[in-house]
Amino acid sequence: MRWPSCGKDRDNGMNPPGGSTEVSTDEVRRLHRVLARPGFLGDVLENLECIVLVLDLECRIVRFNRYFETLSGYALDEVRGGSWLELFVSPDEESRVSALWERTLAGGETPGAENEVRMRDGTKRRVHWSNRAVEDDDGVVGVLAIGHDVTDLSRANEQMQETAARMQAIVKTAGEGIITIEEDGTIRTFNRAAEKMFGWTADEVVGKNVRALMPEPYRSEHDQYLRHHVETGEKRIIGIGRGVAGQRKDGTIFPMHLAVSEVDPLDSRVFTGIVRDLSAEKELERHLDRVSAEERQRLAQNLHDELGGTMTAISILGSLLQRRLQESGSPEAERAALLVEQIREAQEQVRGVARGLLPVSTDPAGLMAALRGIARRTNEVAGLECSLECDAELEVHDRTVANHLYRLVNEAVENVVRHAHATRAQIRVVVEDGKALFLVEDDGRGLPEQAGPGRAGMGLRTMKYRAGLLGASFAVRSPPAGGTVVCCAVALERLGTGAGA
Amino acid sequence: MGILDGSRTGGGPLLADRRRRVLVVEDHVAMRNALHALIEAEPDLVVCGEVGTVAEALAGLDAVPDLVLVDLCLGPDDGFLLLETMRSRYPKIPALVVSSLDPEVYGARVRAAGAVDFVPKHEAANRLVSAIRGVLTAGPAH
Repeated sequence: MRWPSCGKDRDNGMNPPGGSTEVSTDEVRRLHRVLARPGFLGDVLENLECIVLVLDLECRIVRFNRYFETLSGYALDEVRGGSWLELFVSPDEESRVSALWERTLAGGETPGAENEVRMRDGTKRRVHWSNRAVEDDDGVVGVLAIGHDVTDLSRANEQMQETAARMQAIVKTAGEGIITIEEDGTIRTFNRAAEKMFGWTADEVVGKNVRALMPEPYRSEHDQYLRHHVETGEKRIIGIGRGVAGQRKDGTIFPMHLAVSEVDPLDSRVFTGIVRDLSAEKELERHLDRVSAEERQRLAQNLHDELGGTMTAISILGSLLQRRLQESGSPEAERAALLVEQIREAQEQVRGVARGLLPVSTDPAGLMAALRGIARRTNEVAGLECSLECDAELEVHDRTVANHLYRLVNEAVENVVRHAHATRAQIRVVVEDGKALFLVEDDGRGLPEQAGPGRAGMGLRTMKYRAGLLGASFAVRSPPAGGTVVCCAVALERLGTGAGA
Repeated sequence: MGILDGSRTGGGPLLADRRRRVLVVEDHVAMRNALHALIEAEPDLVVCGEVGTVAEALAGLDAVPDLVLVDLCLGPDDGFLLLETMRSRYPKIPALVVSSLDPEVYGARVRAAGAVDFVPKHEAANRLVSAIRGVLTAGPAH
């Protein structure tokens, strides 16, 4: 049986082109002869790896190829003349398929038509059809349908969609904020946890620059970070993860952990940031610090008041005893003098321990006095010219804060003494914009290129940690003029008020 | 009279007694005893009372001592309260502060509150007696 030719276009490209024979070589002419051989195209269609189906105007089966015989389990002879719709189409899809059929008969295109085709064993295969009306000179006589079995493909597609949906659900319900940005900083996705954390809805921020989620100075500098990474490939945060500051929609700043990974899909570079709000952890850390500070304070107070008092009493009585023995010309006077000397030493040790535990006196003016003490000791002991300059006598009511600030300044000054090769250092306390700035400046050799794992680096980390506990910002830089400036800026409200501090 | 026996014999205002009378306000017992011994080791000084609270100190002031030794930390009480009360009610009685608090922080404030001098506690053995004499010579700061 011959396959019908389709459409009005008699020249289906299989005939040798007439007229332009000048390009024909001998081989091409022979090839055309083979193509024109009766039954050749029939054989091709018969063995094609797709369904080739011919239906008459009543949608009855006229022909299908061997491929479909194998696929469906029916021999053509068994079903020839049978209704395609009844035999192969499930009732729930019948009306849709009929509509497609009508459209095909009317000469319309039916691109992408798909339906389930019922096989002999009851299984169903999903088939993607490309249909065309078959016409002769008097009009349409039937339909030629070419079908591709897309069951496996659509199953894979479904699975992919399912996987994507599951991934989306994971991202959506994750406890961590997950934000993806493009290489220019434009936010592409923003999950629910991120919405909760930052107070912005995804609709509000997607398409905006990720700068909106961070406070100054990061906000102004972020473009530069991104550009630096894109240009140099240098990784400062990518793949590392670290504590940074985030800013909520209402302007509040909060500590968060940010881990950035770089995804390089085919279309463009994407960065994924996973953020965790550390407010609660920091709060706990602060609480623990406060508890341990209070414990230290109690201990110091006790050492200072109780043991210190007793030691002083012993020292006074010892002096009196020594004097008496001396006046009476006793040979024991010398031994008593030694005793008194040792008592004094012990007394100094107790005072030293108490001062170590609680360097700043409990009075609001204690911090400034203690800072003055740092300057004086540095002058006297370290042989470095050191002075304290302050706008005003700053009162610090919160003892924990006062002691941290003291230690921070002390560490900065010690760093100067040990590492800076400076001739002078200055401690400055400046009050501006609702903040108290504690600056330690020196005229030394400046910061080493990288404050790495050395002792200076460790000192910086400790200072930074302290500043973190105070919710203060901390910066170290070497001005072009030389030297180093350490700056810790703490909000005045952190210093505590007289009441309840 | 022994220096370590804690005797309290010098307190009575004897007519013939020319010794200057010192009221000791200190809540630390061992310290109070030591101050007592230190003062009474001087032939011209006598402890006329030893108390540990502001209320007791105010009661002791009625006996009009020549000088009051004031500790700033008196348990729950504050030595400043005593200094200020003395300034308003007994302006003629001089006060000398003996304290373990940082003189750098409290020195000026103590003087502003009316004390004549501030002796750090750990230096009391060496400096207190001469400071007492200095205050007795100078009189009250008010």
